[in-house]
Amino acid sequence: MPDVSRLVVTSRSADVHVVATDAGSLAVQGAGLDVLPDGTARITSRPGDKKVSVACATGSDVTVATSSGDVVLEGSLGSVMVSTLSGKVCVERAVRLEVRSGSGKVEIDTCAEACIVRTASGRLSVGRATKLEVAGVSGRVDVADVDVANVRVVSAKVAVGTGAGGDVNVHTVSGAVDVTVPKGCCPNTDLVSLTGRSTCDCPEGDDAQIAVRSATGKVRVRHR
Amino acid sequence: VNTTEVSGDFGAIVFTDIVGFTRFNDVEGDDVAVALLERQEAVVRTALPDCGRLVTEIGDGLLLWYTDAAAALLSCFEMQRGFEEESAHGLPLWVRMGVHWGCPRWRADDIVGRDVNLASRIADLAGAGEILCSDAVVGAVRQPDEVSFESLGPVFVKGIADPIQLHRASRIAAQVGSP
Repeated sequence: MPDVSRLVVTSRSADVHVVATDAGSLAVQGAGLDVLPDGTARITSRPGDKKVSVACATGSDVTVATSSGDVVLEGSLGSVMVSTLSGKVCVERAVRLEVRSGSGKVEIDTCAEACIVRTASGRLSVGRATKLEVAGVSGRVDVADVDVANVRVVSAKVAVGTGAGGDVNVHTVSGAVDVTVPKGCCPNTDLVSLTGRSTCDCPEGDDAQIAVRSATGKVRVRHR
Repeated sequence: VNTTEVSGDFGAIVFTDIVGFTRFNDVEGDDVAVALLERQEAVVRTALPDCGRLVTEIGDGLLLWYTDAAAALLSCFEMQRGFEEESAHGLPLWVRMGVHWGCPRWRADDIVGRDVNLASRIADLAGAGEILCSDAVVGAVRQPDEVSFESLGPVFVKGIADPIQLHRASRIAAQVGSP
């Protein structure tokens, strides 16, 4: 198998499962493979394929597009882009990540650099991200630990955890927003809810920057 | 009776869509929703160049037509800047945009056809504040010094069999000291 620098997987309805390992060799099952001169491996599902399985090297750059197929990316990957109209997305670890999802659930374990997520109505959960940008309509956004976050959602319930030095900016129309910081952290807060209630249970300080703006949602900042 | 005409003219087809408008309308009521639509239209009309026009209003979205691709994108950047300013002073006006370069059929003052549908589907994929465009737009921009494109790879869109190549358009900031 020739060396590849980037994988591009397209599948209308078949599920896509990519596993990155230190073994490094590319192996594809359940789809056609075409390696271009620039080192891009183009993997395309064929009619009737139910599942596309790909093994690749740790750190590979991967782009996956499906219409309704679910996408699971296991192991440590480099730059990752995923788009799906209705499939679920699950990413274990990426350096950079951009996910564009319609109605499916999105789960991201860890993203080391920029993480961009666009969702319409699915639930988003993020374990650890350095720099997160979320734009969504409805559903739910759960972020366990982030350094810098910019979240814009219309009616989703948003829960974000950050730490000392964190910079969190959340803007919603109607969803409730809950931002948590570690015990002892004293954040600088700018909380605006036009008709909802906004409260900060922590002493004010300069350990983290938290700005939340909501038209009607309840806003709360607290220790976890 | 309207007739459908093939003009043979290529142009940039732009769809704008207010993110979450239905939910916003439900929460805020009709008066606020109508005011939001008026704010959107005011920003759009201010940013329209001579080569662009507002074709029609479709619910909370607008369909725009431009004869020049670069001018269309510069106008979109200007609109997004206007929407950001509007959002800073009141309820959010979050607008997503899809752009495609194609040759639609004219039906009286309206445009229809596959290219129009594709522009609409591209807008559906964008997030608030984002301007997404097709490969055809990238090829049609003749003065790329003010516009940059970031490839987002292939994506599936509703109603179209094969995946399309998607790009995010951004404005290149003017160099300090440049004329």
